[in-house]
Amino acid sequence: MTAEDPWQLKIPIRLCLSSSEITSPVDVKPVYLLAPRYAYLPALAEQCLQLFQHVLLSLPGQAEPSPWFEHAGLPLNWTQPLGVLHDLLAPRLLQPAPGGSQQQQQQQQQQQQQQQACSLSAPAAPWCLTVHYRDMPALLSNSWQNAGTAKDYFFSSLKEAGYCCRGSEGCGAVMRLPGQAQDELWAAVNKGDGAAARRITAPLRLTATARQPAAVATVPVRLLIRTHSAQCSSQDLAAVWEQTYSSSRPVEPDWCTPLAWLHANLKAADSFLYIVVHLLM
Amino acid sequence: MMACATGQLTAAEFEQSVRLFVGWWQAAASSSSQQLCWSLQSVRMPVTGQVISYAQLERIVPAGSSEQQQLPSSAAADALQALQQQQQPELEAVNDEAAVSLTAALNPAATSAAADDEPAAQLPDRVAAVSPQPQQLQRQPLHVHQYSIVHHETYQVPVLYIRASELDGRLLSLSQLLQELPDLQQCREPSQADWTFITQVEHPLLRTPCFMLHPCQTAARMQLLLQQQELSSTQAGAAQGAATPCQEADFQQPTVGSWGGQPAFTAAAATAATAGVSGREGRHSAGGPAAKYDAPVLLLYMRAWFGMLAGLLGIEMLPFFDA
Repeated sequence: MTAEDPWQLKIPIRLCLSSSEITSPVDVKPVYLLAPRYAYLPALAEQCLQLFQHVLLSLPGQAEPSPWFEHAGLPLNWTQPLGVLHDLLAPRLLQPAPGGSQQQQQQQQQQQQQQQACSLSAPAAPWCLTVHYRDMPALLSNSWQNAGTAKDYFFSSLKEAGYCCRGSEGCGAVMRLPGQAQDELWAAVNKGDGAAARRITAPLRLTATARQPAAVATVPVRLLIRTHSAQCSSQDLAAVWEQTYSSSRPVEPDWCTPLAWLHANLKAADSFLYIVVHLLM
Repeated sequence: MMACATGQLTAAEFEQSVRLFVGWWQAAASSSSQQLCWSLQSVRMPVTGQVISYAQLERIVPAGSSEQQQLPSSAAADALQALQQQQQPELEAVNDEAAVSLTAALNPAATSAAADDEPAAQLPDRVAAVSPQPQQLQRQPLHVHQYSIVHHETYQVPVLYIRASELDGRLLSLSQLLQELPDLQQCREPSQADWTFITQVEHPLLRTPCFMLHPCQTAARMQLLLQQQELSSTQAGAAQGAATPCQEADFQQPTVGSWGGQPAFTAAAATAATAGVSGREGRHSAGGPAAKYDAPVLLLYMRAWFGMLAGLLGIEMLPFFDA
């Protein structure tokens, strides 16, 4: 796998406008688009605002629309890249199909079915999302500021990754990035332009580096573990964040495991290696 | 222990440090005029079941005003309770554990349509009695600030998270927060953007949006500060060493010798604080959960760390001297 591959990967998305937002009597057809895995939700919002603007309710003196997305009723947090959100939320738990035709062996078959491992479905394509422009839930932020807060969070993550890789020097390198370069990097990330993004971040040297000769280099990793339980419906996504463990920390890679290689080749735009784990309970 | 060698704290050291800090603050506040109080909270993480402790403090500030009113969290609970009883009577009553109930109440399912002026007009009399300017408060809308001290896994230092909201739970924007805490702007390097020192993030334990003060220079400052402790115990010139030469300062101080608005810390307090530190053996031993904890040093660390921030938040720092 070459370094360009992750940047070229895209997620097919079927985007619907929430019915509460539509003011026209005619149904608004959903929009199909391909979004880069490393992009963030605000970029999607700006793109589709142009498509849906003509049917949005517009009142004089109204504040600018504050877009937010929802997947199967779950409001999406805009701090994670699209690819991470998709990998975390799209797979569904598949229950083993009930069977057993002979009554004599029915109990035995039921026991076998219980012992069969539940499996995860492949993510359905396209990924269905609904966009809203009003009434942002309290658990998300209500200060959208034209996606500025998502961009600030991205650079804060990049700085944290820099600290993992090179300590204070990595931090300082990110903070010294000129304003224009920051804007270009953010635009490149949301367009999926890997070449431009790497050109801007290459001088930052955000690769795991041992800060002292005897020390081990640490790799910035963001780990998300989602539990799937057969007892509760996997369609109930409202509780998914309570069932998901997320950790952002440096990890010392063992030389036997290719963690450093994974980071070098598959790290996200903010130089973190995102690992999504689905735990079947 | 990592604290003195690198200025950082392991997770285990932070757990003990924050417990000592909260215990010290509560004891010292009870004998002073300080009404704001830290409380120790804990959260159980999903999947791993790990219990993580952190400190939390709540206060009420007048909306948009930089004049800090030192109202305790009980006043916040009272005000919120009054608002709840009058607007959403089906919610649970706020109990004395203001941290937990206030957190739950500040996440309503639907945003309230109440105007900003309504909460002020519905304040209970108890809040007015606590406030030094009751009439001003009743006319002015109030905001709730919630501060958390949480251990950061990457930077291995304590980090301050700020959640600012209106009484009905609607979050404030960064510009509104900086209007109420203007001293935070001192953390910014000239010509640098806001994100270099404060960013809106998701609270690592509470999973709600909040603001984080960037900690990337905390370790260097704490290392320098704690090293100065050893030198300043006999030298009066500790004030000179308090200023850090670091360029990318998160907590940049306006003048040399003034550290978070507490110049008393530099010389005289350093002597007393260091005199209170006992058991220096093993301070530079290897870090790790099994290492011997030097409790006085851990407490000193947290007191010094918060001492840097107290002035920026407009909170009166409790004296470092032991009575």
